[in-house]
Amino acid sequence: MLRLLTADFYKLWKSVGFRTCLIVFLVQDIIYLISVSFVGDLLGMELTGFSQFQYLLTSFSGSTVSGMLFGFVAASLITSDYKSRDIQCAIAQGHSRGHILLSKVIVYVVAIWILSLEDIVIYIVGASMAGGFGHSINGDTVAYMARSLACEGFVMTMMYMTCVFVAFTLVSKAASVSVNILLFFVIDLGLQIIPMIFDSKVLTKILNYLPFNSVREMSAYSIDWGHAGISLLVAGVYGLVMVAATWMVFRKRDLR
Amino acid sequence: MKPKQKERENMAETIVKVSNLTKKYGRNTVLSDVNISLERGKIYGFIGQNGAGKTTMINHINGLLFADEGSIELFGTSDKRDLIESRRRIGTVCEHAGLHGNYNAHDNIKLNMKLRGIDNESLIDQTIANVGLVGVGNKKFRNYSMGMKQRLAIGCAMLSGPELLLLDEPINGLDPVGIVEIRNLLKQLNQRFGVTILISSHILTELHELATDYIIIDHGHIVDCLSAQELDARCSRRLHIRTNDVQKVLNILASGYNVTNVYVNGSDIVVNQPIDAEQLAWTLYNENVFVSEYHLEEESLENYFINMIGGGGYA
Repeated sequence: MLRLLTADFYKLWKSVGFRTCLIVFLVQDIIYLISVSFVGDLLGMELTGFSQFQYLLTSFSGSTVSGMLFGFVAASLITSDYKSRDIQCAIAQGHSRGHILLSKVIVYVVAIWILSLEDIVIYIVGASMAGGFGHSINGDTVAYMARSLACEGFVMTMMYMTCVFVAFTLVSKAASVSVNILLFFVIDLGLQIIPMIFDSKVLTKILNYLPFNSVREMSAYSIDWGHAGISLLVAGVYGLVMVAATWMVFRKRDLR
Repeated sequence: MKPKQKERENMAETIVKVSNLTKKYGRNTVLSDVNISLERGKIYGFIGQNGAGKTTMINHINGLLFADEGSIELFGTSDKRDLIESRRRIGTVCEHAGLHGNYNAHDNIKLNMKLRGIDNESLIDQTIANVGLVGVGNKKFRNYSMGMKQRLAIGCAMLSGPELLLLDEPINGLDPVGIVEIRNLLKQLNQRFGVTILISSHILTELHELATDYIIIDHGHIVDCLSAQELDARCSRRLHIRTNDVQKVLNILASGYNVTNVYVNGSDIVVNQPIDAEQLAWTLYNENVFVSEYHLEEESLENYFINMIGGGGYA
């Protein structure tokens, strides 16, 4: 397992796609911060570290956009391993399929966390340099930031196990990117429309526990732990179900 | 030869045993009831046309495919967990698997070392030297010639010192010089390190100078397993008979000469085992069988292979 992880992280480090993503994020973040400094007033956006942190968490939880992004990352990391026959090579070298899957999941999670944290750090540092932090820095603030990052990060990580499942199932990069976009768009749309159609409070409550919805509540300043606790649990179960489904697809697949 | 030595040679260690293996893709049967054994220290030429089932067979040994029926035993074990472990003793060269086009030789070897848990930087340069790629520097793998790619693939497969090397069509697309290079490299690995080699190809003549044994596969069936000496013997003397009464000749061959290894193609009969040709000629004459052509022929390996897989039905 350790051998697989070492090899997979080596590939991640050498990956042109991942390095490009890091650079694109950096450039896009800088352009965004410069834009906000010029037209932020008109858009009602404050260029402070704290407000940009909150803005970023909200934008990350917009599932369609981040679904596209992290779906692309999953597709790049996993389907390219099929294409280069790295997965086949690992099996032929005596690595178990379970370890291969676990290693890919870990590397994918680390990759999306690196990309997300890069965004967060640049937003906070860049905005703080331009307009200050904009909030008193005390224990409560740090706890809030750490809690939102941890909770939202956890829910999103579990939610994006969908992308791992799609990439492992479809194998093709183009197909898995397309399906991810479509899937997150349809789910996002469905979660908004279903409560309107059925007009059921129970249904709405249930839907709110799903990670696609509950991710938004994790970045709230004050949080209802009773509700959030269930949401976190549901997210955890959802992620595990997705990994289990991926395992079911992968464990007996013929790799020609 | 001393009796004990002879006994030891007779009891050569079987490191791969494939039993009754069948694989289907939908209605298409790609491997049908395949039985083969690979013994330590030998070089097996795995011969078959494109689509005969060579890669499918190798991929079963590698654990990439799951058999519909049958079993595989590696290094004496067929237990699922032990099979996974056993594969660490095998090196595979298959469509440049695990080699990245945008990496140079150094990085590709390093990645393969990490995958095998080898932490020895000096082995990288050693491997580059062993496969004759000194001086390629930072050249990307995708810009290598076919021969260079194959040599690097073999070098990577040899990193962990495997006991068995599986090579799927390693001479495809190679120029004559490349073929000689690969052949010499494999001979060296077999002779110096005792590596057992299974090398698949559809070009029999290219394997002739390398293989100690042959496994011939056609349409998912193992047609023949024979040693290089046996192949040479079969190729050297074959009796060719052309007649208008094939069935009568076959009956005479079977009853009077105990001949079973016969191939029939229309009115042509090829006897593939030693036979007293003069005596048979008299028998046919006495039995009033019309024979329009009767000769002993030396056959090329290529023709033998074609006859085995493509020419006529099996009698």
